[in-house]
Amino acid sequence: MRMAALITAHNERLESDSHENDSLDDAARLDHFLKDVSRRAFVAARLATQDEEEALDIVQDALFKLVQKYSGHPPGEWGALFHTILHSRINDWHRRQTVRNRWRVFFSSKDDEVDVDVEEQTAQTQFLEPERQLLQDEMSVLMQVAIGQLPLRQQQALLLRGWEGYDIAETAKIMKCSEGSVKTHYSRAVHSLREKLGDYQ
Amino acid sequence: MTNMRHEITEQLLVTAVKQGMDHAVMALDWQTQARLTRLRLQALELEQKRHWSEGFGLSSLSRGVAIATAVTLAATLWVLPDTALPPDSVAAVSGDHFTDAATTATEVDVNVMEILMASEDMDLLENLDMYEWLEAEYG
Repeated sequence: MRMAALITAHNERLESDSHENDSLDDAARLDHFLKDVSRRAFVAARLATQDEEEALDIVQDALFKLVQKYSGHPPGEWGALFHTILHSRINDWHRRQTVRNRWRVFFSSKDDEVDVDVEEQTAQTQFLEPERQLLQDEMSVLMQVAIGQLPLRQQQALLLRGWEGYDIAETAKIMKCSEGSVKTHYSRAVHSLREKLGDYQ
Repeated sequence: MTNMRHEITEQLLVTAVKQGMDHAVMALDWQTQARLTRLRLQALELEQKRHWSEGFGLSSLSRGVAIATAVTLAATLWVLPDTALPPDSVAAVSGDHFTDAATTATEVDVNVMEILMASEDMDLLENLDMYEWLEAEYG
């Protein structure tokens, strides 16, 4: 009973304070949101670009654009808006990269193109340190390598649906495609991952 | 039965994806975390600036208009004192009849306003006294 009264009083105090500190709360909420989302965005962008510097640039663009254009929107909308910006930036980066790669093809020999399988790539990543490698670390690295090898749209559908927890409609909005396309990309991604990681499950 | 097994496999896979990605976030090295923190703080600074400018109700358009108005006002205040009526001509104007001096001063005012309205070069305005003198001497 006494505990209930304490909680009620605490809630009332919080409510009265909340009106005075609306702007402060907004700033704190935005700070908290950015803190959480920036790290996840970096990991997603790094998977898509396979380059830390490019990933940081993409995250910076997305953070700044969200703050400049959409921070006035209700906090509940920030996540979807941020991911829309982020994945749009990643798509732009891939388009530019495709054009660059077309030119590179003329100058690179075919000897350089070596198919690297999951195990080999795992050994090359900075995360793997054999002497203190735990099973979870290894699985995480394998997973990232496998996701990184997926085509971009499958990767996006998988991360938005499977990791970020958006439903099909929200994912379609973020990816700017139809719900049918999301289902196809997601299903292919799951199928492909199952094949790649089958031996490890 | 096959469908159910399929779903379970998919669920397991998605769980593994979540765990793998969450682990990647947790395992970010401190340099990357520091750089992300700097980006976040820069973004928050931007937000603060945006908040302030909204607080003053200043959109980019209204800011432009305000600056243009301030420049025009400053230019007008800078130019007009030179063309104000001299004290003796004011006395003449206050009388019943306009004198030549008053007429000249009024004409000068009209000229200045015409020049301002026509957006002429400011050099012309600065040398206006010389042009008036030239007109008086040789005109």
